[in-house]
Amino acid sequence: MKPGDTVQVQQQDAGVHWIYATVITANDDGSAFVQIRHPGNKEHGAMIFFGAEKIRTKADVQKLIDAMPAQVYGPVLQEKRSLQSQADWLS
Amino acid sequence: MGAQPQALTTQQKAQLGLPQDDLIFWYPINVVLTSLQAGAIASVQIMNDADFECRWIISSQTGLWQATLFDTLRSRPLMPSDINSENLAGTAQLPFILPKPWKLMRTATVKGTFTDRSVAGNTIQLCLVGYKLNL
Repeated sequence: MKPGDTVQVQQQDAGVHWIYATVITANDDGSAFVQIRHPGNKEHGAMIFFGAEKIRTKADVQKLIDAMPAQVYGPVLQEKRSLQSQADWLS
Repeated sequence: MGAQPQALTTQQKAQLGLPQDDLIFWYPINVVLTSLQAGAIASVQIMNDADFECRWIISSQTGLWQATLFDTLRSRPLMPSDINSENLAGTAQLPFILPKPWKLMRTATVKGTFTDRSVAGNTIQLCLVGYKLNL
């Protein structure tokens, strides 16, 4: 993770959501100061510090996808496609 | 014999500054979408106790989305194709005000097909806000 990367950060309101953000400064422990880049979200544009546990990178999302079985159906297939589209968006 | 007393209309009560019988009310449509999920259907039914006059449309959401709304009582869509969330609803603080209030008969159902545009999970609450009439 380096400045300029697009990552996801965890937002908790009605549920747990992963929203997009651009890294401004990254620390060795995995924490980072980011700017939320998620149009339509109430925190779009805000600059916030997140701990490592509330940040996921493209590699982290790819790990989640790889942990799923190759053949999936129904809601799990929907979730896998959802994660794949999010991984494609990250850098 | 004196004239029979008549009940005041809602408009007369408003003019006289008396309490009105209309009740402000929120009808929410809640929907949860996964990334880029398309065509998720959600709806809300107007309660049987009063007709509803929708004055404002507001929403809160995780990210951008688009939707087509249907007035199922009259069996007609309210738009020819999906409309982006920015063009459909405001917020409670800055609502989309309907220049001409939209009257919905009791038991009518407003249905929407929702599509995510945020490329992430999206929790949406679209509210039709207005008044239950003459309760």
